[in-house]
Amino acid sequence: MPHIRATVSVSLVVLVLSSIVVCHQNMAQSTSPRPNRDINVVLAAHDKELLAIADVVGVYAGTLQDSQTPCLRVMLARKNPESERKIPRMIDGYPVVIQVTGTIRALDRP
Amino acid sequence: MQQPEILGTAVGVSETGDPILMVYVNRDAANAEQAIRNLSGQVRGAPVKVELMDEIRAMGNTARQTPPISLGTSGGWTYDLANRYCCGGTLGGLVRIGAGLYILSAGHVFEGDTVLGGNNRIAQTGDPVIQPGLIDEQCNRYLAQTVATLVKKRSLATSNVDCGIARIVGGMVRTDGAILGIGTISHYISAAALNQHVKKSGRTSGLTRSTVSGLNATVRVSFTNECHGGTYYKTFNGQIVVNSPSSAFLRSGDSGSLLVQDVATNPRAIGLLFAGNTSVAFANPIGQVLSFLGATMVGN
Repeated sequence: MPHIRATVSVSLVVLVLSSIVVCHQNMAQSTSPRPNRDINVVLAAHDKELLAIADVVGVYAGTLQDSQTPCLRVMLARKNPESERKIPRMIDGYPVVIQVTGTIRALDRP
Repeated sequence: MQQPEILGTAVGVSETGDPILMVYVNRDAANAEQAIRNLSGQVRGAPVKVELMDEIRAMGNTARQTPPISLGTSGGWTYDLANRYCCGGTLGGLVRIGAGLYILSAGHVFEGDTVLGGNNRIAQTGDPVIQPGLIDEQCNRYLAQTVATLVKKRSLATSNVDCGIARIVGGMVRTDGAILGIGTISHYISAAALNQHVKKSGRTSGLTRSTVSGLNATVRVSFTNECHGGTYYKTFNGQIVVNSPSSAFLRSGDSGSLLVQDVATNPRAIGLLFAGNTSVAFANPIGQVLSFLGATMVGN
């Protein structure tokens, strides 16, 4: 009967692994829910903490490259991997896109 | 560049900060689509990004006009000279306050000199506003013409907008508020919307078109306290974001331009352009500007 026991053991391992995968998917869903607040409300709630991160010069409500999907865009004065690590990739269900745009300045001197 | 459809190339920066090769293709060329298909995705390891644009023409609204002048033109505070440099911007549009007509521009263009500093002057109500700006008359104010007189509003110090006004001198400014390359506008205003098509007419880049790419921006903007003076920062919220890849939409000297709908006749004003970088431009919502000033747009 060792062959049968081995088959049962393998089945148990597959069952446990399947449960872990399902569990992980559920967790992933719970960390990126569909947005249930207006993006401008989310932006207003988080803009100060984002601007407090080094080299962040601006945040705004924009879209992904499809020009449709709403997202939060965070502008950096320069490439800064440490700051980029501190910026969440998702806030309240909205994807966050980081752009290196340079300093924002008044445009009165050619 | 040997293909007539390709207007130019430039080195740009991707959203991740890496170098990219920008290729500008004439949007009106008959073979534009074929030209884009023929482009390689990479050149010497650098990704290629294609931008469709209008044919390149001589840019800028810098010339001295015969009065009454149209707006969207070079102008500024007559004493905007300090630290061996002169500065200026764009006379953006025309507004009405009570019975008076006023040129609208950015606050930092008309009254950006807030310290005695390098020229022993601070912008004051009654100072002349000239066309073109000093930057287009070799920093010599006597070569320009006075078209309005400054009415100091201190918007930068006291509000969430960057606007300035100057009361027009009789006969020097078109009273219909016409803007170079745009013509007359509507006296109604419009709120910005994502992906909305917009245009502006400015001192440096002339008439340019783009789209609204973001709303409700909170931005930290760098200013100087006089021409080439000390730097300070101010944070604005609720700002309009306009695509300006490689500064194609808004350049230095375009501050004060009016952002309007990209329609053929009597576009509505949307914002007052005042800042930017090499990716995007920023405008104060025009409703906030007019509310601060107690003004209405002049138009049809």
